[in-house]
Amino acid sequence: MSHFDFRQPPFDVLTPYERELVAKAADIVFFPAGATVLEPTQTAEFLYVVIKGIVREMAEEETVAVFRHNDSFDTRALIAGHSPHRFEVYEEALLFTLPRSLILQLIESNAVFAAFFFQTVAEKFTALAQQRTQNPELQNLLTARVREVTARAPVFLEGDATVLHAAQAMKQHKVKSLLIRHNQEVGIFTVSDFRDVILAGHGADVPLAKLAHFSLICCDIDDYLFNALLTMTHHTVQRVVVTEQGKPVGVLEQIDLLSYFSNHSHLIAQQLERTVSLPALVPVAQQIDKLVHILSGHGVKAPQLAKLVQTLNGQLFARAWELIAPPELIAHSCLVVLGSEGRGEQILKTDQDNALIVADDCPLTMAEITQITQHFSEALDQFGYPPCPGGVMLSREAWCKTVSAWQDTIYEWVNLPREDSQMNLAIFTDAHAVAGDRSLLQQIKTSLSEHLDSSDMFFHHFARAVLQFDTPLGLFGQLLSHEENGVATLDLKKGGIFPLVHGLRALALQYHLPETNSFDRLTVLAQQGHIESQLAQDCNEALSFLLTLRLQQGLIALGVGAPASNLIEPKRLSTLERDLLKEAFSVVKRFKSSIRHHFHLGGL
Amino acid sequence: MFKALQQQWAKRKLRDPRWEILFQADDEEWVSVDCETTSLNIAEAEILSIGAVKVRGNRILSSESFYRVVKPSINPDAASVSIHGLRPLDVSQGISCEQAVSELLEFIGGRGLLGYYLEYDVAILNKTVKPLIGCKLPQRQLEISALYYDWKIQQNVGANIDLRLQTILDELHIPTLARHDALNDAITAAMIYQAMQVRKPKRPFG
Repeated sequence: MSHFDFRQPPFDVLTPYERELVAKAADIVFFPAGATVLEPTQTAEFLYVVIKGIVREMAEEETVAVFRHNDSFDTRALIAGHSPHRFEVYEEALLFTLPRSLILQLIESNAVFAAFFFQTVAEKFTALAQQRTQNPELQNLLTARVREVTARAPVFLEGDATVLHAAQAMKQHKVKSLLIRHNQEVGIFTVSDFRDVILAGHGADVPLAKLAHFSLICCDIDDYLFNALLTMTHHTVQRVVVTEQGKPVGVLEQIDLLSYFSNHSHLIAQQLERTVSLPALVPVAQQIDKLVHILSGHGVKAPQLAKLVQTLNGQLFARAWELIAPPELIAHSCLVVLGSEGRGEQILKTDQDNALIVADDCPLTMAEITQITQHFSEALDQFGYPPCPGGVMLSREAWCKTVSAWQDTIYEWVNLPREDSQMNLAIFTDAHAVAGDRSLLQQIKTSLSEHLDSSDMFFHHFARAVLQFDTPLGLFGQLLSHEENGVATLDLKKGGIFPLVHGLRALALQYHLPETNSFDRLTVLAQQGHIESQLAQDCNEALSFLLTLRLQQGLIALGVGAPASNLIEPKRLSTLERDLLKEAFSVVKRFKSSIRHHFHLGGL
Repeated sequence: MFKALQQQWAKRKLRDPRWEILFQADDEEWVSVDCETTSLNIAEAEILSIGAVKVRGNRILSSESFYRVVKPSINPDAASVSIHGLRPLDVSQGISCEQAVSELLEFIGGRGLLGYYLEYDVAILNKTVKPLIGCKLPQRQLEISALYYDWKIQQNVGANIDLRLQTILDELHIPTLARHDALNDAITAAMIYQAMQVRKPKRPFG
């Protein structure tokens, strides 16, 4: 019978026979608004699957979870016998009921189905990640074009240039192949041809026209990368000449191609290394965005992606700083990135968050330095990092100071807690050095630790921000009531990311962890026993999921020309994603309450 | 009083005492029933399939549902196939109409019948029921579109109430089931019944 929808997880994994069992056992129940489906102490005899309507899971007066079309509940109650929560109908609901005995039977017979029920929060997240990687990855591999790799610019030599010239040119341009112009023809001369030169006993003065291969293996710049790879495999060559309208415009190395398919970031790194002017850095900066798109489509998860972007951004900033700042300033200062950039959790470009720590013995005056930092800030703007609206930029006086001035500032932030000093301190705690003398940042962090040890009240104030925003599941519930008029949205940052990040930051400060990345902080905190390991693992997965979700939404927004934001529409998520979001938020709740106890924040 | 007499009269005409179960009225449960037929003209229509589902309290017992495909004496024409999706090939596997109706009666027992445009389904069924057991379907009958009408008319006295199935489903926010077949239609009718239970019009007396 077809009245049961088997397209939705977890029922989509059932075998035809199991589906028949489910279809035969499924009853439909109707509940008016306000009715209670399951009482806290009541034995759970059924798994309920929502056909229509909304059911809320309530802990006392607080909404813990919301179930809509195709959502099922309550897996916990089914396994444990009963749930501590009450399941209440919010909007008139039609539900399928599946007997507990049947579900237990299916759990026994179908491992994948069982996984859905038994998965700890962490495992559930992994399932989604796997599901998500399946199709887009393949699609991207098949549809990426040669142009996206931006092949290396070709280095041309004339046919009468010699083998020696070739060797010099390759060394100078750091390339492995040269294009040789001779009699209106273009040939290629590669590193491996040197071997043949030596074997044949030629001297270094032989003209390249005699040695180059004039039957070029080419691919068009708009051809699929996949075809370029096939061409290389077919001709057993390591590179193809990229042509645009028949003219050679670049050389595509197999190594570049392969690394693109695995992780094409090193191309950008190489380009950064080779770039000699600021304007030339702009397209490289744009490539970082493109890389994010591609890798995200390849199923790379947000935390890994963020670390990669942090590295690349770091190199970009360092290169730009090298091109702008004089060597004596670079040697006597430390360029740091702050906030999410410093934690290595920023993926899509937002505004600049950076600072400069100047050594006390720097030969330049502050006025001179300000000119340089302003130039740098403008350059970042060109790269796509708009100025920070809050003014957290090294071009501002407040964020460009000598070591001793920084130490005074830190003292004030810790001991004169004001609204913005808390925030500034939070931003600074995540500082990560990208260029110059890294020991300067270390000095300041050390003095920060010392100040903190003498100020107990500090942590109490600092950690309180974790509780600043409402519990996300409550938020979810509240939004429901506005759903009919406007679009129901939910703030991922306020609801989940910020509490996790800030709580971990507070703990990291308290235990003097040098780590700035939230995931690294979690690992170390768990290792040192400051966070229970299950909670740490759950937080890890929850944060990873939230960041990935934010990234996806951001990429979609950028795709239609809108700015990336923290707001998402729960309605647009798949059932599994919503399920995971609920789980993630319930993890955030657990984390918040453990932070509340840890820092004695009281029942707020 | 009059109804009771009528029932007794009908009961006496029973050919087989085993059908007495049909007269043992069950006030707790209902059966939602729907037939797919070759035609909408009662005189010439033949049953192609019968779907039925029990309703107990707020529960639609789709796990105890009834579905039979019937082999008609003439093949369904193309126009009706497009509605019910039962091709000549499908119904050729069916059982006889008498067999299907007899099994349906056992399934229904003394439960009341409910349906959308139930009058039609009952009339079609009675064409077989009467010769089979000696009387027409004796169970109480509940027309769900009437429930809907009563509710709507009270909100908007004198209005013209649109009783098309899709309108009712939309108004009550009832999901459309995957396939248009007798059983799903019976389940749909049962869902309308459930939705109407919380929308009973207020009556001045009782």
